[in-house]
Amino acid sequence: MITKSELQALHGRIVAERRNKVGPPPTDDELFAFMRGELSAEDESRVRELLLAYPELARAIAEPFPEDDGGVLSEIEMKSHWNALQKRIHGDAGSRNVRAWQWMSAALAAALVVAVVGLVRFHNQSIAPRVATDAPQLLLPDGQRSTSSEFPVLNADGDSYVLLASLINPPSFQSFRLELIDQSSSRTIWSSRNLQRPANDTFQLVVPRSFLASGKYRLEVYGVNGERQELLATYRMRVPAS
Amino acid sequence: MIIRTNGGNDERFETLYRKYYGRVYRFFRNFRVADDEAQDLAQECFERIYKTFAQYRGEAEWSFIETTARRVLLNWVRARKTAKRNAKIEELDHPDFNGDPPAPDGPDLASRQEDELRRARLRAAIDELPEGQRQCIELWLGDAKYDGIAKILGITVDAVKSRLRDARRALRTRLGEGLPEDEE
Repeated sequence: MITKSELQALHGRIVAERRNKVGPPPTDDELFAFMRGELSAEDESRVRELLLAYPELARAIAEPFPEDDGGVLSEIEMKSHWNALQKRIHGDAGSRNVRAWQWMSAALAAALVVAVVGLVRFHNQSIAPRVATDAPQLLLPDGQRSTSSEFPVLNADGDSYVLLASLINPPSFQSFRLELIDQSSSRTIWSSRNLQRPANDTFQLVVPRSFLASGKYRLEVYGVNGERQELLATYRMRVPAS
Repeated sequence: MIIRTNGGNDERFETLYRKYYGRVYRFFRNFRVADDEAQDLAQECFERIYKTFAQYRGEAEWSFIETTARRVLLNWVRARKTAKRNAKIEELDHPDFNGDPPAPDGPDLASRQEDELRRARLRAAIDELPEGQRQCIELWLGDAKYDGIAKILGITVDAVKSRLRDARRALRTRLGEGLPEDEE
């Protein structure tokens, strides 16, 4: 008899291999559209394959809602949760002014340049923040481009890639964080510190050309609220052979 | 106590809370989220509802709440994945490790090779299943429930059961040993 743990270990391998092959997980909007049957046959098949590679998302999107509360909480517990909820909401409202002030400060800056200082860890060279001089390249989130499955090719005219990662109607968060991932190894090659929301909801990222070898990459943008992080958008890109 | 809302919807919000909070909390618990985390997620869900309450017109309220709760769950799943990826790397020469007992002996080379061969055979057998059966088996191994598998594959629950039965039979024939019984 094959044991359950044996099967699960094998399934872990299958999933890891599949993720390398199919790329990043589907977005929430894609998942909801999939469940409502609103995708084209081609996109539906693509999302289904992605769900096989991300089974925990498959479970989350298909988890049935209980028909009733099943008496899971007593009246006292309900009241206690209600009080905690009020505290949570009022606490958040209290810090709203501070956040608005921080955003205004950010907006006053001439441009938001995300310095890729973290690269020092990987390359023994120092990169200082600078105002971009190379022609910036606007990246649209996956799912927002007309050809969502493709990897847009980065322009390589100067000594840096200047990328504009544009968020579309992002929800409010205390801060944001970026990660750059090597698509072939799924390894995070750089991640930012927590950042304030940028003017025009667009992050400007200056990446030395020498940092990115030819290949496929993806940039991920996270919204951060305390300990919680939410993946807001991914931007796939390809660096051509020089 | 009443939550202050901009549109004077305090009572409506509290009514929604009383009516649906327990179901939302149970939804997270059914997903095997720990008790305190389920409470945190349910609170986050209602906090989001509170913040978007001005746009809520009062129609299809359960659909509105269900969508919000599911988005919160999806975020939680994605955040856990990120947390795993960013897990702290422990250094093996750290003083805290000095008092640890030595690791037990691992399986010998012959056992490891045998296990590897067995896994390779099982993997090949799964790969060779017809697509519909393979998808069912993989989702089942990912802990999806029958109705969840049915929704994702766009088939009936009976069809899921049938495909899983056929897949088990095919694997048993191919490998000469059976799979564990399903708990559902």
